[in-house]
Amino acid sequence: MWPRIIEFVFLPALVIAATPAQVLVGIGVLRHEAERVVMPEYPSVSFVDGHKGPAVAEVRVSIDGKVAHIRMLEAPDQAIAESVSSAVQKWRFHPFSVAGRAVEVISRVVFYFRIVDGKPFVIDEGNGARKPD
Amino acid sequence: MEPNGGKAIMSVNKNVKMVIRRVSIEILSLSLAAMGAVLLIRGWNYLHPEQPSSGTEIVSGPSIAIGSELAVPGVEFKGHLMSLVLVTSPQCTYCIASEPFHARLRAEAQRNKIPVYVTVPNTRQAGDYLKKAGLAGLVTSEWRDMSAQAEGTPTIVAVDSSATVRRLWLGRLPSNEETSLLALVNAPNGLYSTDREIHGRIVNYYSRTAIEQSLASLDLIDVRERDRPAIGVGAKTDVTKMPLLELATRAPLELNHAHAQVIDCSVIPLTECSRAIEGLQRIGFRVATLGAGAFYSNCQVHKSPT
Repeated sequence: MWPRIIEFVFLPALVIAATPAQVLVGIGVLRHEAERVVMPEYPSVSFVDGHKGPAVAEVRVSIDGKVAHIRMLEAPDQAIAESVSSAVQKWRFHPFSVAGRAVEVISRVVFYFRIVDGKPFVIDEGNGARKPD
Repeated sequence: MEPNGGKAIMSVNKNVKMVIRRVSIEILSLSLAAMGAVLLIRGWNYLHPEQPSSGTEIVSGPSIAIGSELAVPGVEFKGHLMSLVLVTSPQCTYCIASEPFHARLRAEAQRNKIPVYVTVPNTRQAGDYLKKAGLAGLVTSEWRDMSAQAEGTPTIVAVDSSATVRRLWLGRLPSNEETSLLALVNAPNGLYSTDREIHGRIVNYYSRTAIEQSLASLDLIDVRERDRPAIGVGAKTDVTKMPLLELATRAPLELNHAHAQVIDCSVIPLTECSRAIEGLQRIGFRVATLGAGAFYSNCQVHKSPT
């Protein structure tokens, strides 16, 4: 009897309990918990073509603070989208928890690709302006 | 014979146990897989909540928006102080639930000589529904014939004598909104005189013209997610799209502090409208709203990408 209860009640319950819950958090909350931030480069092809504007990515952060998934929502062009995606993949966060339970979080990151006085800038509200190398 | 027979029975027992164990493991694996699938589906549904549908009809065109003109074939809005257009669907649960109110609205409108027009996905298939809803005999057209499309059903549109949309109500209305709509039908001049009203400390406008007359420079903000079409005719130049989740981050860098920021609340629930107001006020913007209190639970109208 007990083995069956363990197999069909406790184990599934354990699986459910072990499945991390997902929480949607604001952009500011996500940025506040970032411990490693890698800024995207302004791709030279985008700069030469004069492509500029905001780039927005949706990110899912796993319970260990790593970026588990990135989905580009908006970008001036494909090269910028790839640059953002590749940089954000390297971000690390303090693990998130709700009521003591580790949770995955979903949020967004926003960068601005701007050309000021003929020079390319990548801006994010957390780090301020940054000139590419 | 006895020892061998005993061994055979033991061996059979062992085999049976092994089979039971294997079957148990397989059942367990299957149940785990099923539970995993359930969790995945629940997670997906949580992240992508589905709205009830108005039916299978797919329409195209701009959204019906406050301040834009509306044209329905065979309908002349000019010459009437106010006309009502009811966008409904026999397949929408909120439309069916609103039938008693729609019948009452029709009666009150008739008493006040306010024309009521109905639009449905397909007039041939809507006969029974219109009869049951007390809407039979009204001028009825199809969605695809309208110059602009509703975001969801039921939608009630109040149009002025210049065919401009002055007010709209989306979804099944709570009783206080039903009362306010009936009051407007009984005093249709209110369509022109109640262009603005105080919503908390925020001025809420019912007409885009009134906003433009009151505020020298403004930006109209649509805070819905990207996959929703922009609001209004030729909306691209008129409306700034900035999803609610990104508003606090993007507004300081993208919006003009010298302008009043008008949030289009006619297409979002009041809770989201309030969050957008708070978000912009916190970072020092002057805020007003357009059509706040017009959005309630509704069935989604499917639109083809434009």
